[in-house]
Amino acid sequence: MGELIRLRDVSFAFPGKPPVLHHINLSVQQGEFVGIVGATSSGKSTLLQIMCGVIPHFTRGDLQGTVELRGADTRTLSLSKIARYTGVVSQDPENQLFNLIVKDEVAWALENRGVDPRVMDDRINAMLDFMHIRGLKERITYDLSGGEKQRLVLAATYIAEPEILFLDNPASMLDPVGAEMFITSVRDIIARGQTVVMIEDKIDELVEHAHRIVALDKGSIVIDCPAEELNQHIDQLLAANIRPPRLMDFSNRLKREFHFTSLNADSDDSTTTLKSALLPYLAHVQPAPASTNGTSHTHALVKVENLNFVYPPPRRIEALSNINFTLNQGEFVAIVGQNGSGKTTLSRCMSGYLKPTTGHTLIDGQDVLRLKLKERTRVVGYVFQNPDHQIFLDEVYKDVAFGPKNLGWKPDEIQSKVDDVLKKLGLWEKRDLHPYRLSKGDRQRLAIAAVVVMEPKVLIVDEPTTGLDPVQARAVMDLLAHFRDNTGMTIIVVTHAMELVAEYCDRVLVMYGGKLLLDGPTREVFSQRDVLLQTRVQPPPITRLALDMDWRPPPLTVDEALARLAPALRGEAVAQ
Amino acid sequence: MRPLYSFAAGNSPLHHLDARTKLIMVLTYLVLALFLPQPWILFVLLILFTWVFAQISPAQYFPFLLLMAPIIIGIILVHTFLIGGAPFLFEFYLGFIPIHLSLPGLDTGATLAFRLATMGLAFTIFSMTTEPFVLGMALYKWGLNYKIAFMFAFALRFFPLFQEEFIVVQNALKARGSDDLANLSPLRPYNFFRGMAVTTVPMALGAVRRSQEIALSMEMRGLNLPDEEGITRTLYRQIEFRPIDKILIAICIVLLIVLIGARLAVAFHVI
Repeated sequence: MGELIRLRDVSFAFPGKPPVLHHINLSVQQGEFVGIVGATSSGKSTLLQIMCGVIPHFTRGDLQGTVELRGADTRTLSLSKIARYTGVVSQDPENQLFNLIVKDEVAWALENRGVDPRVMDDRINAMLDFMHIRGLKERITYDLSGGEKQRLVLAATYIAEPEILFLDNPASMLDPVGAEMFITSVRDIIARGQTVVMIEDKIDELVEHAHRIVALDKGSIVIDCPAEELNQHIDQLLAANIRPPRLMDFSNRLKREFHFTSLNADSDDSTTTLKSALLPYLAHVQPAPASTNGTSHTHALVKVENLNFVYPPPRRIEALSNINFTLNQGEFVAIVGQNGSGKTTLSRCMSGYLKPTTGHTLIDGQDVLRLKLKERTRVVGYVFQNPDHQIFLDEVYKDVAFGPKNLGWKPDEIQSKVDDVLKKLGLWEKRDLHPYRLSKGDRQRLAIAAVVVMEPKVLIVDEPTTGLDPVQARAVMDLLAHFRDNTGMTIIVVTHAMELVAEYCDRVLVMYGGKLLLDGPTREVFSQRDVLLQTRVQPPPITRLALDMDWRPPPLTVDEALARLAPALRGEAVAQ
Repeated sequence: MRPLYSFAAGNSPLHHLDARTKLIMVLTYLVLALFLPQPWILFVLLILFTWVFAQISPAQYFPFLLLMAPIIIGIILVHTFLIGGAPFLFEFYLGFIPIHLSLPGLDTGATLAFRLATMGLAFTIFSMTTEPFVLGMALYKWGLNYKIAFMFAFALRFFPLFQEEFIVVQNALKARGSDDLANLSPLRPYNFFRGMAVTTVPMALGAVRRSQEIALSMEMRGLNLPDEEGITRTLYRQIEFRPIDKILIAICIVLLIVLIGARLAVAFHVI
């Protein structure tokens, strides 16, 4: 195997900022699939940008040490020359597609390389076949789903036959089906011996496919090991604030906390091994805890009655079909389902931003559509998916105060509420900063704060954790749980993050094809695996493992699984 | 209803015309709209023509008509009540202020407003029936540098996305209780400009970020390879004039010569 990338003692700092990378030494061999993991601000995206030449050619800064691509210093190569040998796919497919028709997008790299037009069509067809998107060839790019778009970006990049492919969290903005389709395509590419360097926050999937894992902490490499040996570095992962793969974590804690001898130090963490080791104890596990709902409210706050929504011509798509449910005050509810299942349409109808074709939403007995805007914002708050679309003023403090000012609150009341929310959010120290200087996680929390400060009875948050790493995502969910617990606010999240749903939500509504397919407590819904299968909604790994073993009702988190197993496992430890 | 200026895929005769033919037709139409005394007839004819030959009903470019309505009304009202002179259809006094309804003003206002509207409509129909990429190819074939030709085409491709983003930002303003700034009506100029200013902040930042990412993505897929390595850039899809294109271009050229000739003849008192 030849060496494609070599970093020697590389350090980097953005202009006027402290270094984000320190003395990095790294080599990538031909045919390797290297997975890079790290917490927010650990420097992983910067490292990738250095490897693919974006730094120093596109993004400026102080780059120390040497970076070699196929033996040549990237400083001496132009970005175009580097692009000859590399391909890059980043997070947001929307910003990587610039042609209107799918076939033109795939052809673009070939046109730039002067490929004979007579052979282009065959190459394009072969690539679309390889990515399983041949049927999309004549489609308009902005009509595709997120997963289709990202696979198209991959096809449009890979068709130029790069020697090394860089993927920067490419599945982070996709729904589970889209992410699964994308990962399948990446797997197919790796099977061809393609060299891939990939940043991925979903470490469970990365470990399954990568040859090697590189973990970063505060700009330094702390782990560089074969993927199958990552279970020997759990402490280093935790110290670097990186959540270990769920089942690996579970297995590791069984060994360490319970001296679980059925899994010896060398045994792997595969589902089969875990299942066979745990099966003897299932008869003695503790029952599931009562609902995680932290409130005792039974007041029916939200009533959705006979809701139907058909998009106007020319689309005429029936997005919602006869939706009925009631939500109590203080419930923490998740609306889940694939893209196009109707969950965002439902949440927008509930908040009054879309007028349903028939039916209505009553909140505290009031029809949301009959409320004036200012009254409505006090009843139902809506946080849109992208925090950057919701920042209107140039200081964090002013931006949070913007809503209350619009509602005509008195200045002292505004000050007291804004101060309170900013302190609860941990944004008090940053109150004078421009919102765009905050991290994405902080901007998401700011967007929530700017709506929560108006104290609505119901808060709807559209995909609050998309594009955030696990630490940031948990911080956002902690914040929502805090508001629910302290104010009795009903929280509704539209999300694809099933682990967070399992951990935080009392109740789950599953949308499928515009219909409400399932509605119930989280554990009950996640137990109905056969029904969920058609929606492609997957319960968290630990719940799936339990269901595979027929452990019912299944645990929702690793902590819960360990707590319920503890007495039986301690019995084993005592016996030995 | 689709976003303004977004391509509406179709199989109509208008869709099949070469982009260059359509550009020349639009140019001819603009000259026609400038010279003809009653442009509202052209406005109605263009709507009917598009309905028949492109199967695009007015419902599909309703946002454009919605945008134009207050502008047309505003221009007509200003000319009728403030600029036009005698003869007046009627006049009365509101206190000491005289109110005149001027017939020449009404005529001038309607002519100007529909001239503007029909020109805008021609561009709307052009963008709805022409793929941005094909437009880029057409400009490239006319000798424009490929980067400039395709940048223009790519800008058109992103226009609908900006409109969708605009609607999200407007809804986000409503979510913050700002009814005044979220309802951008040209009939309320103060709120209109304040609302535009507030909306511009997230829109502009999004546009800057998006353009940086797109530029990088283009670069990494070899945008500058032809220049740097002296490669002749090839085209996957070829565009060729068909006989119908040639006939239409010939008709347009004749029409342009006649129109401009007649106008010059009138201007120099030859006729």
